[in-house]
Parts: sequence; structure tokens; C-alpha cells
Amino acid sequence: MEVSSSYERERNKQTDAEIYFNRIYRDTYSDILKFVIIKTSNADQVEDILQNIYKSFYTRISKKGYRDIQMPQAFLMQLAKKELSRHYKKSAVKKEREFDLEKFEDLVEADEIPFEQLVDHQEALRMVRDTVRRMPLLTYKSFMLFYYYDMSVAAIAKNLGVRESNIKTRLWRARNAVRKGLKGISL
Amino acid sequence: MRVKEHGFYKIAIKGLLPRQEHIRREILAQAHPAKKLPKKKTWLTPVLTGVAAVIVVCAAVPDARAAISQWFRENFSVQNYVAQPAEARPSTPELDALIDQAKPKDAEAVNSIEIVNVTPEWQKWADSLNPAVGDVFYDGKELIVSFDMGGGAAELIMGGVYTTGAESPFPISVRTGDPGYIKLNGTKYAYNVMSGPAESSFRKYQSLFEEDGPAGNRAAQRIREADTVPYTATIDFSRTSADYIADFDGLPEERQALILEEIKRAQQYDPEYTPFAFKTLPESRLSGIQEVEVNISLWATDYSKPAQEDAEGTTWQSEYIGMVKLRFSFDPTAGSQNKQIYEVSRTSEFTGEGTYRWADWESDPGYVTCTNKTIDMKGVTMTAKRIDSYASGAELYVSVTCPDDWDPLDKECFLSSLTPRVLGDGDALPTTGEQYGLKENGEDLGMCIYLKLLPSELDAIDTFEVIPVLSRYSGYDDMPYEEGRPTRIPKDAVHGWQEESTELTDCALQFSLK
Repeated sequence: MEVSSSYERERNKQTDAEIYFNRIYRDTYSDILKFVIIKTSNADQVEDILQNIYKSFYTRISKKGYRDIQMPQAFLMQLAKKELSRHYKKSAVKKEREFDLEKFEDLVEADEIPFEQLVDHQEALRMVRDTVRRMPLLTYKSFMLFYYYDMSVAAIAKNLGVRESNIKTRLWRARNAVRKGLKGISL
Repeated sequence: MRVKEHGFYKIAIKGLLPRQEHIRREILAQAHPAKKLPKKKTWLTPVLTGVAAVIVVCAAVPDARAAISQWFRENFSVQNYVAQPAEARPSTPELDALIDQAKPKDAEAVNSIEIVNVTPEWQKWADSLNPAVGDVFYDGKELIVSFDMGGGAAELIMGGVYTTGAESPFPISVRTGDPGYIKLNGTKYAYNVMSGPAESSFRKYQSLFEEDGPAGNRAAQRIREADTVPYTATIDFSRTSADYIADFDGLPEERQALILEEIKRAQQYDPEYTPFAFKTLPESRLSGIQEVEVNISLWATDYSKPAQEDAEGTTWQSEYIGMVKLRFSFDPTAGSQNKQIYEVSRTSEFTGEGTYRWADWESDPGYVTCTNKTIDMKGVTMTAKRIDSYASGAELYVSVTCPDDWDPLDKECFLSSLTPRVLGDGDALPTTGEQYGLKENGEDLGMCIYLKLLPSELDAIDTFEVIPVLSRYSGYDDMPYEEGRPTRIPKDAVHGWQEESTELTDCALQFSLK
């Protein structure tokens, strides 16, 4: 009874547009984020782009309602494409600051890294994030899609429009660079 | 070790991703539009004061109270009214109307469909439509009505596929909206209606666009050839609309104002939209022939024109153009009578060799050994047993048998590597799932494939084809699979297998229900 009445109170605070927005946000977030990661030209702006996409969506449904939006996922994809093209225009002249992975060509075996012990090691986690953030864009995308979204190499290659061997090489280098950094961390 | 590494990276890079809840809160905080509260009703206070004064006088002055009571008794005696025979009672139009409304109709109403409330620039297009109500199905929970829209096919087809845009040969698309209520025997109820193109009929266009791109010639050719477009509207009687407002007066003023604005917007294209009048009706109360009315809005998007944008940067392209007014009747007691069983009993025999995924989970404690195995498929048969057709879809029962002399593990792995692809007149049919094993009643399903096909769509297909697809390992994480060399890995570390598949077209099964 208590749960029911607190739910009612919460619902009454929200507008219909908010209720609809929250549902669609929850249902589409993961796919839209993946799409933005695949398409972005600047890894640092993923959050801004996502925020703009969903902000446009919320403003639109607040003003014009959502009864005509039959397929919200497709509608958000259109908004994402529009936002990404705006983002491309803005960032066209900016030169990407890339991290040179070639210097890590010395092979570091996975067996040399105690991954289990590093799971709670903040310095190690930060090092991985810093290394990944500074990777060349295509490598960054490959790494995120492979390790976070568990996509296969074939699927990543298809989505990014490059050969599978290209993705494999990039993942190999990226992994080696991260391992090299992890090896230097004292437990 | 590689798997532990995979998991570690997953945890580490999660911190690189945007924070989902943070973004949501930011958007709601920034974008929540400031709303003007409605003006306070200053006239209400004196009116209420006057009414209260009259009540106080009635209660306090015995003579006045007696006179008013006497007047009511003389004019509104319930006993006097009820004591009369029904035919002798004076007619009360409002009450008669309510009684008539509550009665289910005893005769089946004529199904009808028309396009109404059309904007002037779309009137000619709307006049070219030749809509017709198709099948009406009710399975105890969902009510599904199919309707055809002849004419204007190109725009309607483009509204049903994801791939559309300025570069398409048909840049204008028309879509249907989802109404938040229905009329049942003349009374509004808060049931949401999902409306849209019948999925299987549109899948072929979608597939062609995906293969050839938005300007694909093959898709354009098929769209030009189309003369009618099938649609469905589905009412789920187990769920009421989210817009249903039970107690408007009890809501805070700010929320009331927002709701009133939403209603005003909705009434721009549906003048009958008034959520306060909505009711909910338990499914168990449905008896007798029910007349249903649904108003489905139509929305057009012209991608050849720039999107409209307001001062705050909000863009939109869709415009309301008219409404499909759909009236039909159904008998809720018919229920499962809509099920139809088609016996098929056609068998195909496999030939040649097939390579499939093989994994041994049992013989090596703590480890699993995976590899690809190639086997002579002679003696393997595939039988399409029957199709059960329901209101909301169809079930195709397929069984595959392997030779008795096969090792049980080989048999199990071979069958789990085999998935069927079902075609109807050459087009891939949409499936919603597969199930193996026994039903609750003990019936051996073999392999049950759920197809998203309306009975009328099923009837329209001349030839069905079931193509077995055999899958095998092609890689593990980003490492290519080394053919012929079994991989032994800890059980809890199985992760990231990639697969390739081969369509065994020589072993395909064809049949017809006609």
C-alpha cells in the first residue's frame, strides 16, 4: 500500500512527456551510445553528443507530443545522425591528437599481468582509461566495441567499414600498449 | 587468461563511457520547459460562498428545510418511478441512452473504414486511398484488425520502412500514429492501440533497402508495382493506456496545466480526444458482439523539404494530414476458434558433408573442449509437420532426425548448430523465436518456429521454403579459429566465440498450404 501510494505521488510529479522520455531513454540508451561511438569523430565528445540528442528528443516531445512517433528508436537515430553531422561540421578543422602505439611493439604477454588483482586497483584502471582515451580514433572505437559491447571483430569491421585484419592489428597494438602500462604498476 | 583480461578491460573502460543517469538528470533539469500556470479562477470563491450560504440557511431554518424536502419528494420520488410498469414510466432520454450504450449489440455491425479530417493539401491523396477492413481476430487478450490501404502505396510503404530520406526515389512517407483510446459500443476506453504496417509484407522492402541503400532500384521497382498496403491495429485489453488519468481534480495544479496543454495539442488532430472520459474495462466483462471504433492519425514527412525549426532549435518534419476512422465488430466469445491447423508432413533428406559446432562440456571436469566437426549428413531428415495459425502469428513445427548410429553428443551438437531460415514466396519471413523440446501437454515440438504472420498473410503465400543453416566456429575473441585443432578452455571462461554459417540449400524443404 505504501509502495503504491509513493509510486502514485512520484507519477503525479512527472509529466506525460517525462514518463515517455524516461521509458524511451532507458530502452534506447545502449544502442544510441553504440551508434555514437561508431560514428563520432572525436571520442571526447561522445557525452555531449548523447546529451544533445536526448535533449532535442525531450524538447520535441514536450512541445509537439509523441503521438506521431511510431518508432522512437528510428526517430532517435535520425536525431543522432543530425547531431553527428552538426558535430562533424564543428570539428572538421580540429586536428586529432593521437597517441603513437608503434612504440609499444615489444610484445607483452597477458600472462605477465595479474588482471584479477588489478580489478580494484584504481591506478591501474585510470591508466587503462587514459591509454584508451588517447588512442587513435579507429583504435579507440575498436577497443570500446570489442571489450565493452562484446562485438565480434567481423561485426566491428563491418560497422567501421574497414578490413577485419585492420581491426585485429589495432586491437593487438592497443592491448599491447595497455599491458605495457599495466606491467609498470606496482601492486 | 585472455578472458580475465577481457573482463578487466570491460570494467576499466566503463569509466570512459558517459554516465547514463547523469545525462538523463541533466536533460530534465535543462530542458524542462517553464510552464505558465492557468489563471486562478477568481469567480469561483464568491459562487462557492453563495452555495454554502444557501446550504446553511436550509439546514438552520426548519420551515425552509421542510419546504425544499417536500418539493423534492413531489418531483423526484424513486419509489413512485420504480413502482410503475416499465412501459408506463415516463421516458428519460439520458437514462435510456446509458442503458442502450451498456448493452452489447446482438447483431454484427457492418465493418467500415474512412479517411476523415484531412488537411486540404492532402485531400486529393486521401481521396485516392481505397481502404478496406480485412480480418478481425481476438485471442482473449489482444484484438487485432487488419486493413488494406489501396492507392498512395509509395508514401505508405516508405512510412513503414526505416530507410528513408531525401536521396530516396520516394522522399515522402506517411505513417500511422498510435491512438490512446478506443470506443467500445460508443464509450471511450483507455486502451492504447498499436498501429502500423503488417510486418511480413514490409520486411521485403526493408531488406532491399538494406542491401541496395535508400536509392536502390530493386526496392523502387517493387514499390511502384505495389497497389495495396496491409496494416494492422492491435488493442491489448490487458493493458490500459499510460494517458489514462484517474483523478484529474486530485492532481497538483502544475500537472493539471501540463495535461490540459497535452490535450489541446492532441485535439488539433483528434477533436474527440478527452482523456477524462476514459474508462478501463476488465476483459472478463466483454460479452456479446462488441462494436469498436478507432481513430488512427496519419502523419506525412517530406524529406525533400528542409526540416522546420523553431527559435529554440527544435526540429520536426512530420505533419498531421488526416485520420483513418476504423469501425468494426467482434465476438469476444469466439476466442481460440480463430486457430487453424494446416497439416504439412513434408520431408527432405540431407546430402553431402556438413561442418558444425562441437563442444564437450562433460568429460573434462572444469573445462570445455570446442572444435568444428565435419560429418556425412546422409540419413539426416527434416520434416515440416504442420503450421498452426493464430490471430497474432503462426507456429511452424519442424523436426530433424539423425541416424541412430550417430554418437549422442554428435547428434546433440549437430542439432544445436542447425537453425532454419523460412522463406515465403522467396522472401525471408519474420520470426519471433524458436522453441525446442516438449510442450506442457507432452507433445514433442521438435523445433517450433514462431512466425509473425497474420492468417491472411499466411493464406497469401503460395510456396514456403525451409532452408537449414549450419553454423561452425570461426574465431575466439579476436583470434582466428585454427581448423581441426580443438580448443580446451575453463568452463567459466567461455566467451566471445565467433561463428560462420552455411545455408544448406540442397537440403531445403518446400511446401504449399494450398
